[in-house]
Amino acid sequence: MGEQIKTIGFATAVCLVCSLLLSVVYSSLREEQEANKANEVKVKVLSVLGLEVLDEKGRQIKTNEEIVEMFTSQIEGMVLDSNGKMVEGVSVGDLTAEDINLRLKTGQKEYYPLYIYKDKTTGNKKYAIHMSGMGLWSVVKAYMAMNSDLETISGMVFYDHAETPGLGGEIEKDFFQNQFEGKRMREKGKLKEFNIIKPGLETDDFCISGISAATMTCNGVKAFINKDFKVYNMYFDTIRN
Amino acid sequence: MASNKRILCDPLTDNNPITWQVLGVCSALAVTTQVKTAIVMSLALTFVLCFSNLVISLLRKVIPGKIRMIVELCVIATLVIIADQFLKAKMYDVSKQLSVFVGLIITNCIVMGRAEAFALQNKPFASVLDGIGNGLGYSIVLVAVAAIRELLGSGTLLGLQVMPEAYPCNTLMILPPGAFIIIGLLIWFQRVYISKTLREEE
Repeated sequence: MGEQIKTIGFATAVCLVCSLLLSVVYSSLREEQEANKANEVKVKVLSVLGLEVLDEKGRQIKTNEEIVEMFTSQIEGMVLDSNGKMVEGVSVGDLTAEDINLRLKTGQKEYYPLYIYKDKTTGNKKYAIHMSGMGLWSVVKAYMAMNSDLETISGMVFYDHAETPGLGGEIEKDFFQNQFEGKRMREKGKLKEFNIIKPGLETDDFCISGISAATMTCNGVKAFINKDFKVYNMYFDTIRN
Repeated sequence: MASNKRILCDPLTDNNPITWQVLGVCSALAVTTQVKTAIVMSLALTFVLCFSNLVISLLRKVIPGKIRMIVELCVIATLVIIADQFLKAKMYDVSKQLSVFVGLIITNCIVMGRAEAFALQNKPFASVLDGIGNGLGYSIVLVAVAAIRELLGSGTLLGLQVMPEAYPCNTLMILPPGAFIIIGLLIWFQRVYISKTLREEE
């Protein structure tokens, strides 16, 4: 009996010491970890807007401080709700990943962040919008950049997903993402459905080639691009008028 | 002391955890496409191995035999999580590339193996040396494999272009089979040309 108590006591002590140690480590590093995550989003936004923050292999070439500096000095952010109305009192910096992505429980999204970049020399504006939705297995998250005409896509980056590597996972590869450049979401002042079609078929301004063996992922991507753009389009209408 | 030197140096060549005992091969295959990730992974494993050996050795007389392995795992898991959290804070991009493999150090046979086979029977100082030795032995192989794979697969070393621009990158080296082939060749090379044990036996 005495030996058993000793064993339980020892186990408890080990657990206590370990958990205490972990709590200390976690709470002392948490701030830095969160800063890293926030920084990652900033890098994605800047890169989709065409600013030079990544080299050709996707590595960050600016320091975190430079990224923050670029972001605060050149990017203006605002938050929209699901009706495309501007939400007062919420800034893009406050939003967490849960706020802007699909909530699996409700199937709804709460906030839609919009980033506006103004080129200082030409005065041209570019807009980065956040899109996300179900692929085949997972929530796929992306940023799309629009030109100042608010209908031509100037860039697309899929930054987070858990699709099958080698199949659906190929959406994050350049050959897929680069296809979006120059495509359009509207025709003659009206929304036009964006399509992802069978690879090999001829594409026009409103569709791109999909990926063989990743039809389900592509269908998901196509669906959320159209769905999310509709929301942003409601806001864009107010700018256009 | 001569024996301390042996504890430290044996795992580097004669008793290397990867090429001789063929332990910890999982991570050696996975994180060796670039030298940088291999180095960070090596450091993380050496840190965990060194401190887990130290703690287990300090506790070796008080750990109840029945829950011996659970306690070992608890200590190792704690150290691995510390290493993982640290990487996430200080080296975010590398930690993203290493992804689950830092966490999987918990199940790396080398760590558990050294705790069971060495730290439970030996004094703290010797155990730390054993941890460093085995960690370095793992590191040597990991960095060697990574250097070959990065050089032949991407034409770079530590991200710097080494091969001439015209060099056609060998994709096989980037893929897991490339690591299998290289580790196989290393094991062969080590057993035939470096290992004293085998030659003495012959």
